[in-house]
Amino acid sequence: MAKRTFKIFRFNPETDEKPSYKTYEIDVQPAWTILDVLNEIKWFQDGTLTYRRSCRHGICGSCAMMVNGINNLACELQIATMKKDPIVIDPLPGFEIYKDLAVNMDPFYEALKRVKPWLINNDPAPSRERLQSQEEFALMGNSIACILCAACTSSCPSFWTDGEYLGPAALLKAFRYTFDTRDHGLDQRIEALDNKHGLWRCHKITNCFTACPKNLNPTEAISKLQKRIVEEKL
Amino acid sequence: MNQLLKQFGTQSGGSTAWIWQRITGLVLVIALFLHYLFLHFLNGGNVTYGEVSGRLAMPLWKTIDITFLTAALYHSVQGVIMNIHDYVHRAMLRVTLVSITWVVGLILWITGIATVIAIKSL
Amino acid sequence: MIHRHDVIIIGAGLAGSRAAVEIGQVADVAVLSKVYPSRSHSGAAQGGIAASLANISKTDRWEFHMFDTVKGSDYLGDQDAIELMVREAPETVIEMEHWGCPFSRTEEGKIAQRKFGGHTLEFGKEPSLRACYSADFTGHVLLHTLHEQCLKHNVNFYSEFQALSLIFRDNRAIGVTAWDMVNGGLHTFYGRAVMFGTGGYGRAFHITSNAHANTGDGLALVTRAGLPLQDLEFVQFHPTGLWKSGILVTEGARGEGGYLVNGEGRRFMEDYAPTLMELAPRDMVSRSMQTEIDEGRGIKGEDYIHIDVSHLGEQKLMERLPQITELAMNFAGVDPRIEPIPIQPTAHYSMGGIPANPNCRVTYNANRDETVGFYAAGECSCISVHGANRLGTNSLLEALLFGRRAGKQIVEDLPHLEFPNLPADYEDEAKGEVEKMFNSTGKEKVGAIRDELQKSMTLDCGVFRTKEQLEKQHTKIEELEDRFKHITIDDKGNRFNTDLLEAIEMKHLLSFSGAIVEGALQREESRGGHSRKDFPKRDDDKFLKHTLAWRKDGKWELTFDKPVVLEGVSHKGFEPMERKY
Repeated sequence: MAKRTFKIFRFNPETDEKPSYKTYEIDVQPAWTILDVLNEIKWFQDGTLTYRRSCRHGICGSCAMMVNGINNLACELQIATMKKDPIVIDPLPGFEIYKDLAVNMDPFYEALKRVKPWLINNDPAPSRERLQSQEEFALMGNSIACILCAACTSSCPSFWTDGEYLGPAALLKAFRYTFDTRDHGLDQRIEALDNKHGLWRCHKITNCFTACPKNLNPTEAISKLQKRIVEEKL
Repeated sequence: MNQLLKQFGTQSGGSTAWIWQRITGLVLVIALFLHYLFLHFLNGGNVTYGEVSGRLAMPLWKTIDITFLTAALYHSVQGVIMNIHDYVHRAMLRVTLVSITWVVGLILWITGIATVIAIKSL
Repeated sequence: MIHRHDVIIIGAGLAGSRAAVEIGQVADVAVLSKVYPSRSHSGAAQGGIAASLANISKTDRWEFHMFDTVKGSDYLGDQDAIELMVREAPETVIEMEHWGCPFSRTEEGKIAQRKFGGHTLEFGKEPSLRACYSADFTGHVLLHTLHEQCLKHNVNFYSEFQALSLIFRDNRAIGVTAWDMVNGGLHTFYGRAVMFGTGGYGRAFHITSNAHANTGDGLALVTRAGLPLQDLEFVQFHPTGLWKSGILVTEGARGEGGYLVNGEGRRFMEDYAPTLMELAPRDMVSRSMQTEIDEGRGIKGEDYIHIDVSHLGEQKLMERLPQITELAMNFAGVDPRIEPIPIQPTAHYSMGGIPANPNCRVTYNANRDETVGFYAAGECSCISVHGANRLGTNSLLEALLFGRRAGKQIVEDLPHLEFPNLPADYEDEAKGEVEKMFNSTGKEKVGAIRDELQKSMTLDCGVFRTKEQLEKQHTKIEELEDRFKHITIDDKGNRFNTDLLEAIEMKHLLSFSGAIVEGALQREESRGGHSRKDFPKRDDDKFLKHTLAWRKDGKWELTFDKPVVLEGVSHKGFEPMERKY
């Protein structure tokens, strides 16, 4: 058990004129994560602290936030691995703040919808599964493991300036379907992708890659998509 | 949406700039290589005005240098604009800075071309 | 604010989303979810979804799947529903593949399948490779594929709405009230049909694999509307939860060849299930582990066991079990490539729930009489395909398949269902509840009450139960219910009030936890996930029956007279016999 200090971003638009940081001293138990600390505060000290959480093991994507300047999942981030004191916790940047660490994710989901994230294939479906070789399956890489936590999109400076930018998560989804050998829908997605707020807005800053808690690489996926679109055009 | 269209220009485009950024990048690698090779190695490292102007008087070298200049300016102007797009959050300021970058680039390009064309052997 | 849609679905997990895809193509459907839809807990399912596709085990057939499910249920499962499920399983899974779900592949390019506990060929002879999977995040890819289909069909989502009450009058479901988390405020949703896909109640326990959100909200709403709950005492304790946190280590880890060792370094499952060993059903493996722990043969004498997957090799682990490898490193601090993972049984799945028939219509008595316009599917429901114990990979199947059935049934029923009239007191119950929480000025804190409930449930209503423990827990819950009346919440605002949310969730947990304990107390036998130390034998004479529990005047009333369906739809059914593996 060790005492650690946490500086947490607080803002309630109902009552506060501007945001502030509130400092909490917490006895951290071994193997505690940031989410354990937030729960400890909320359940036993200050019930007004607001954040999202659900599965608490890194698969639902609810608890993405910025810890010590880097977006991450609160539930996965072990306190013991962080030497810096105090530990500073902020909401995901680039989104409207609902309250404290909870932000408005609607724009994120709207961007996702723009890339038509569903299999497009008008061939009549066979009676059994469509065949896909292991090599073809591998083309999608680990993009299928994306949990839509928005850590990547929210870390992207291009997204901060251009709210209309699809962002790395939506583009990763576009990659996942474009490189799915069962999908024939690039024609229908190209309008959203080949666009100033689409693929070409990515300037390879690679924040998304640094931020992704699932170790996915949206930058690489975007590059592959860019190449694919240029090839289509030539 | 309409307001954003005004801020960022047309919806189409992006891929052309993206390709040209890569083509000019490639040109720069080759041109830089030639530049170093001829300026600093093939003549034993002695850079004199006479030697440089002699080479630049040749039409082939004028073409190479204009290509070099054009590629370098396009590439760097695009690079600066990308940074402005990513990090300048106020729309008016962004439009102003992008315009200034284009104008400065254009002036440098014209001045550079004029110099390369005008140069004569000593 | 009042919202009117043809169909109101509560819950955006596999069951709710699947029904919404079906209904969204022909009618106006609204899906309420307490989280953003892609955050639903179906996404946490890891190992696979069962279907006798016979892609690898070439001789697999639905009859074998049916036998395994019936036997796994300890004969409490309704065999008509089970037959429907195992027969429709292949088409249900293949449909997901056609919608783009990225399944792992065999060398022939078909959907890959792996072994899972209790799934066998030839009625128990040898393990069957029946679990269709995508690495170890099968639920995740199924949920996301479905959510994307909902987007395609323009389903209306109301994200971050917490359901507060079910409006149910004269045997007819009318709608629900819900709290808008973002802006605060009470909303009423009503329609021609209401469907619940609200998930399980694992958060009644301290050691659980379930998400914070899994507070059995649907069950609480149903019982408060005067309807019964069924078989609540049957809680599945998954053998392999990470020690102390209860986070799930997929059964696929054993399916791929991982094994369990006790403190003496011995594969103790040979003492309990010599044929299937680690691939025995979950209730058995959990009891075996708990016995080892209770008899002092845990690792270092403590309350955990080891699962060893290191011999599978790095390549297989990264390809088939990448999430487990990461979870073990993040949450247990061990590298499964070189060392064993510490595990303990963890509350995982609720076999019981809202009684419903195979058409997903909610029923309200032992005669299985139907309510009107009210449907349930997935973990919140008790169509009773799992009986007393669920087999691994049958849960994703149940949620998806009965979500699909519910959707089709609702589409079929809609022409006969008029819009009901909202009664005058439609929001009184919910309004009173929220106002009470805002205005209450007692000394009790929600966090402390929840902590006590969860810890006592794990301790006294866990893998093994006795009369003394259950009576103690009965008193405990009454005490907590009483203390809950004197809570106070810190956050009195409307904006994104998660303090209020947690109080509502706590109230929901307390609304049905008593039924788990009462059922466990009155069911004086051991069957599947319910294991009484003082009644170690199954008692088919008295208890081959479903439990129905009503909340009346603050007390639970239980009956054990709803018979189990022992025949299939076309199959003659499997006679109850002793369960050995």
